[in-house]
Amino acid sequence: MSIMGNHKLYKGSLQTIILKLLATNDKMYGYEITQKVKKLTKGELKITEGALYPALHKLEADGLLNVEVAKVGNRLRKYYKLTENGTKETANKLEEMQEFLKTMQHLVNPKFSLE
Amino acid sequence: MAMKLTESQIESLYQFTRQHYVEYYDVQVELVDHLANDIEQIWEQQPGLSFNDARDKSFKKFGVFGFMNVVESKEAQMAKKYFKLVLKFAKEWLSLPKIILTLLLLFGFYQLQKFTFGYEIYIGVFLLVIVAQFFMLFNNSRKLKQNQKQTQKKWLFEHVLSIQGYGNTAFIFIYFFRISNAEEFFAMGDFKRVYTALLITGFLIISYITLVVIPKKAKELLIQNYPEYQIT
Repeated sequence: MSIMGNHKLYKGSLQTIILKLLATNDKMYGYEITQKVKKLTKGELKITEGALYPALHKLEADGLLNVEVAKVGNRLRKYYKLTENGTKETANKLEEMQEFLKTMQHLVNPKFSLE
Repeated sequence: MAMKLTESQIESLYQFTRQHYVEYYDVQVELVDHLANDIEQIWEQQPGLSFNDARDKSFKKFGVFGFMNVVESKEAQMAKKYFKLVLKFAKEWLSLPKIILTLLLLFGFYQLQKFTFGYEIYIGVFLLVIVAQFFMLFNNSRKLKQNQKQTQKKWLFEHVLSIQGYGNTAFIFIYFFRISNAEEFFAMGDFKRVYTALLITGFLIISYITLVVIPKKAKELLIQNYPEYQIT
């Protein structure tokens, strides 16, 4: 994922972001995902197309996502959906992410105490 | 009023992806929809921009490698899918009723090692499979080419199922067989005898799966894999 600006920190979280979005939105197509992320983060995080699709394809190959195709207007659209395994994996990944955030909190912003 | 892409502009986007080395229709579909969405979005901000300029602006966002990453990841995904498919069918040979046949083959090949013509049969089986693979390869690529001429569409998974999947088993066999002549074959120890019988049985079963079982179900597998295979 190449992120606008200097936010290399987001790298490595792309899969978790996609899974989480799909957990809350049932089914989404690629472009929709990029727009949603942009909106939710107020433009702070922009997923590039060159990174998004490989990530989606990988998740699909791992059996976490399913594909649906629908005709929308004059073109075909590919929707991604969580599989049963995908739903389980989302919970795991989110938990990992929370752990990570907590650890970073401790490291970056330690609270001084007299313990 | 938001501007929408016309039918002919969509068609030109398909051409555009082909020009940028996206051969397969299933990959093109996704990229065309993406570009189209983005172009419409760009037009909302710059309504005066021409279609070609908006398209190029959108394409630039894919970075210097263009669509290459997307194509590569799709190929890797399909190879993985195919591998899983072969494994699924292979598992059948390890459970009833097929396991009986597997064991018979194994036993047969093991016993063959005692006979002077055993080595010839091993090599013969190997060559036969190779010839069958070549035959299928030529036959299928001719058929696929005809199909493509008619429909103007190439499907990546179809290519994997009917062309790319072959030959791999032969390489694996050559790599592990490691016996270069009859004398070596007859001088094998007990462990190596079992190993060799296992190897050729496995080779035969996997080849049978890739050459017969999967091609027979190709249509069904393709529809499962590509919901759009039926729509278009």
